[in-house]
Amino acid sequence: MMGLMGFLIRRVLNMAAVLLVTVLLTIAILGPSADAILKRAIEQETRAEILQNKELVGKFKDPRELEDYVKSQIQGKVASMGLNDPWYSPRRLWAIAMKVMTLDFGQSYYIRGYGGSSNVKDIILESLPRTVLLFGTATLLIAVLGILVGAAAARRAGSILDKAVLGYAVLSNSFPLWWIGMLAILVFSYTLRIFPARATPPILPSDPAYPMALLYHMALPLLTIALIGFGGWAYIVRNLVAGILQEDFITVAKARGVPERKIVYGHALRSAAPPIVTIIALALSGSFGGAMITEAVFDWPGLGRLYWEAIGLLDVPVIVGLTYVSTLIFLLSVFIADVLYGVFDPRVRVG
Amino acid sequence: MSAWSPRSLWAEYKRCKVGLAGLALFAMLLALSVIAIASVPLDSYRQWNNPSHWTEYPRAAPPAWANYVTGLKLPEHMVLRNPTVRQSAAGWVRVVTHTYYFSFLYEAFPDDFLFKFSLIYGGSPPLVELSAERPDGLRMLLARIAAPPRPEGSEARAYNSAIFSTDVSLKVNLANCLADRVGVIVSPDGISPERMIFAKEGPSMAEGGTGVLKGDYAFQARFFLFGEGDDVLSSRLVIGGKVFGPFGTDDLRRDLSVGILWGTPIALSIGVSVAILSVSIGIAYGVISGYCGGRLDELMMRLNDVAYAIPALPFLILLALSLGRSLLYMMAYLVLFGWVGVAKVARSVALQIKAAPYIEAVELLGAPSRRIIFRHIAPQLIPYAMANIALSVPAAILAEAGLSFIGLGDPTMPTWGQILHDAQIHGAAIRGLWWWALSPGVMLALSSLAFVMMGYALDRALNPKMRGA
Amino acid sequence: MEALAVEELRAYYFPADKPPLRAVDGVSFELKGGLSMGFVGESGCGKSTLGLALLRLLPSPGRIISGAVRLNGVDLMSLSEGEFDRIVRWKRISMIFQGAMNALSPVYTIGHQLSEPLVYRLGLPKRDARELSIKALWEVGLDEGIMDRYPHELSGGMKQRVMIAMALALRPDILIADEPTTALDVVVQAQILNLLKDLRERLSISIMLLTHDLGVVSEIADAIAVMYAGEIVELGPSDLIFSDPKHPYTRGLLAAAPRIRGGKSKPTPILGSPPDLANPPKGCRFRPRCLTAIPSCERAPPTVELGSNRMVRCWLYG
Ligand SMILES: Nc1ncnc2c1ncn2[C@@H]1O[C@H](COP(=O)(O)OP(=O)(O)O)[C@@H](O)[C@H]1O
Ligand SMILES: [Mg+2]
Repeated sequence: MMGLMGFLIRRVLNMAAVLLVTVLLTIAILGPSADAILKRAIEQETRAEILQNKELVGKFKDPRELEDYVKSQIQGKVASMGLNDPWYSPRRLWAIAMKVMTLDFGQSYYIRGYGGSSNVKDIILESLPRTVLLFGTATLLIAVLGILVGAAAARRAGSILDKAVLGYAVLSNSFPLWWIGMLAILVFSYTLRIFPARATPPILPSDPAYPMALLYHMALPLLTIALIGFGGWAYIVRNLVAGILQEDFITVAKARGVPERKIVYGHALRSAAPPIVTIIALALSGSFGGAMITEAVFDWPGLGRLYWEAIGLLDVPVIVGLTYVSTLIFLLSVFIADVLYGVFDPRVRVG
Repeated sequence: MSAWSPRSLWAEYKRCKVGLAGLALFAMLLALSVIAIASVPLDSYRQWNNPSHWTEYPRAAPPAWANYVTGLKLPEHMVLRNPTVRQSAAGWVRVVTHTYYFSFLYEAFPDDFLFKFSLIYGGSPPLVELSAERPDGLRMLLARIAAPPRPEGSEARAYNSAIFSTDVSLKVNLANCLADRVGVIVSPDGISPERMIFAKEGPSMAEGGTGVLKGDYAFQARFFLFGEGDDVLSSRLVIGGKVFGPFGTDDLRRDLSVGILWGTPIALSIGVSVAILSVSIGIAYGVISGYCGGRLDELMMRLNDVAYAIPALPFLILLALSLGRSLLYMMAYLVLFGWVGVAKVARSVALQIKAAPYIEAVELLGAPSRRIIFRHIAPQLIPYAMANIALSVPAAILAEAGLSFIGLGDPTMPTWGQILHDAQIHGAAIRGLWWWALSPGVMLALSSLAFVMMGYALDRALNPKMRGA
Repeated sequence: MEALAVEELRAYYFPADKPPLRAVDGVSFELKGGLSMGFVGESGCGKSTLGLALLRLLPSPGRIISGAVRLNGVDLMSLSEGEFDRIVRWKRISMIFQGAMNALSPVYTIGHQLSEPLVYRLGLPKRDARELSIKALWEVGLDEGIMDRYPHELSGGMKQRVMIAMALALRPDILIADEPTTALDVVVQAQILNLLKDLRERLSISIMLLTHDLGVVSEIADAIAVMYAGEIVELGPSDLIFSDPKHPYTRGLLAAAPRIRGGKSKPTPILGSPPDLANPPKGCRFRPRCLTAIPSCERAPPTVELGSNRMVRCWLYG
């Protein structure tokens, strides 16, 4: 297992590097506005602190005096935190990076969590499980459908099924996923009235019926994502498996009597697994954005919809938090794919 | 990756039906762009986000051809701008007549109507009289109004006003008409002018209860002018319908054909320029990395790996928010994320070419590496680049659409993505306003399909090995 | 009786929108039980196609056009694909494929792959198959530790030995060895050749050795067929072919590799290159490269029998 460990360590290092670059990029892009966020947070905290201290407030007769005192306190804190340095000074850079890495994104401007919290971390962590639920399920569905259909098409290269897979892949990749989402609502919610139009269940999360309601509301987005997503996968799997079916070792396996089904689903598919996993990990990055937008279309209460709201309200702290967290999720899924790669490919696992 | 020539490439390309279909689709989109630029005034496009520009259009009207699909004969929205003009003078009064002839053959009544006019006068205020003549010969006086008086001797100035179908004076006139002609007395409140004018004669025509009278109508406006320099500048008649134009209108009364037609040249130019730029950068990066090899290659590829692993959308959002959202910026952001994938493949192709014997020969002859890269390696990558550009265009178009859809589009230029954003905001899908959600998406899909198909054919023409499959 | 008799076998490739490639074009020969025959010729002359055609495993645009193949007197061409697979393939005729590097599935262990013919063709339970596989490994000089290894962990020579063990696991009558030593280093080449020689004697199988390397055939072939552009141009006992080559192409081949028989002269390569099999020269296919061509060579050369077991197709002897 040394090979796998080494491989994984390399992947983890790469991931950490990407994460670091992500943080630095975020800071660089947002530089000045990030400062504003921080200062605002300090201002709110300090003000709240002072105003809660009745004894202290009592000492001031004139509200203007109190205001001056608050201002000076804020100034002091800002200076002590080094916020008077520009954002790109090394000390600042490090401090901000640490904050981001520990998911400390400060307070939101407008958006509140279900519990009324304005802590960006809380708000994001509330939505996170729903995104994971929707996309985890969708990805699984896509993987199973894509691999089965793709391998079947490769087995009968040139058949009608094969051509249909190609055509479907081209078509489904030409449509924006989120637009198909709009059409799905139009057809299935408005015209046929089979599924609810809004994916947010109308009851509170504390209600015992909530999980069922959530699943029912999840059906339409799930089916849309899976059906549009699997075409591309099937095509990738088909090409890789068809390529492997041309290899010498397939002829040899056939010669020594391995049945055709075992050749396709055993020898060919297993050999294709590592490249399938890699290519699909990359394809994930393409569909990731579309899937986030799709959440907003279906009003699914996950990260994507949060993004939509935050952009609409220009709630910068939430946007920054979402950027970091969604990058993290994306990297984690690529990492899982990498681990799977290692498990599938004996050349990595042993060696 | 052997030698290639445009002619042989075209010969291979021609054999792929999908490629020809893609080319046809592309030609169609180009033609549509030309039509858009030539026929839709740039002004109405610029006014996209200005609500006052769209007041004469119906709200959320489906496209006119929907009548054929649904079998209903809903009235089409009409904006009539070219009246028949006649002048006559009687002593010191000049009468200018604007008459609008149109046929009304629908099964339902119009929603409303509106007569707009623009006058110029100095001294005594002109009078305006609006009447309608129906297919059955009945002539109805609709309104008689005077322009506001001006102080004696003041300069001649323009005056714009309008007569609405909801004006009370109009209802009073129609109530009188009903009493005279049919002998039915109805209070003015009980009259709905847009119905009564277009209804068959009968006791319940005030509410349109007698059904639509189909045929040729004439709306006539007579302007009585009393001053020397007084004149009628323009007028127009809007018969508010339930369906409109080839693409319908949205909730904000905007004519969707303007946004959709103009969306074509914009999407094409975004897609093509982003694709060309990112593929060129990617190829240059890959070739330099692959050709130079060693430490530089290692470093460049590490960088590429990191760039590859960064998900585009969150960063596009950040960039759009903090740096700006104009179309040019947007294209720059897309290029920023577009070159990465190309570089990786370009490097491996460059490595293959580099190993070719003739490159070694050129190297032995002592050619400088810049020369080798640009003279010998890069030209061989041109067909590969073309296939890649074709396949990058849809990615760029869809990425811009995605950004616009979440509300980060260039606010000065409507794109298909922005139209869909508005549709989403106004709940077009949930409310069944299908034309609003459908047409921009179809255009997006057609544009990306055209390039996907061309890219597929190019790819096949370049990799004959794939052809058997 | 001959173990394998092939008559006028033709196997062409039919690439899309191109004229067919006549890779094997009227090949006839007989192979006696327990003997080995070498098929020599420049690469691209159709050797692999011949081997794959005999196993009915031609890759996709390839098809057998005509010809007769008899194995121990049984007409193989009359068998359906199902029958052929059940009765002949791997059980009667097996093959060591060209390119040992790519002949094994990368994702299964050696043991698994060795067991497969025993499980699928003989219906043995997995455990028995495993035991037999271990024995097969011993036979080719490998130890059972290899059973749980993956192909990428093995050297080229070891992989080739595994292939040989796999090909002989069902004790076929005929083993087709396609370039069994190409891409191996010289020492390993010699070991593999010795192993083949040894196994042929112990198991008394017939070997069809397909190679471009005269040195390899000289080691183990009892008879030699010289192939050029899809045809056998000369055929005869090994020592006679080496000592007294008749066909100008055979002579050319020997002159290009003089060291095999201890010759000291410099190697002189055959000028020109093999013809396009889609559009071969009329008459004798070697004519454009032949130094002794005469006008009659424009017509198809006669098949001249020179004593028993000796044949040459050339106008010089007709
Ligand atoms: N799968 C294939 N499709 C088309 N042509 C092929 C294929 N395999 C081999 N050929 C052609 O058939 C001819 C004979 O090839 P092959 O039998 O492999 O020769 P050898 O084994 O003697 O080197 C060559 O010209 C080769 O290009
Ligand atoms: Mg061969």
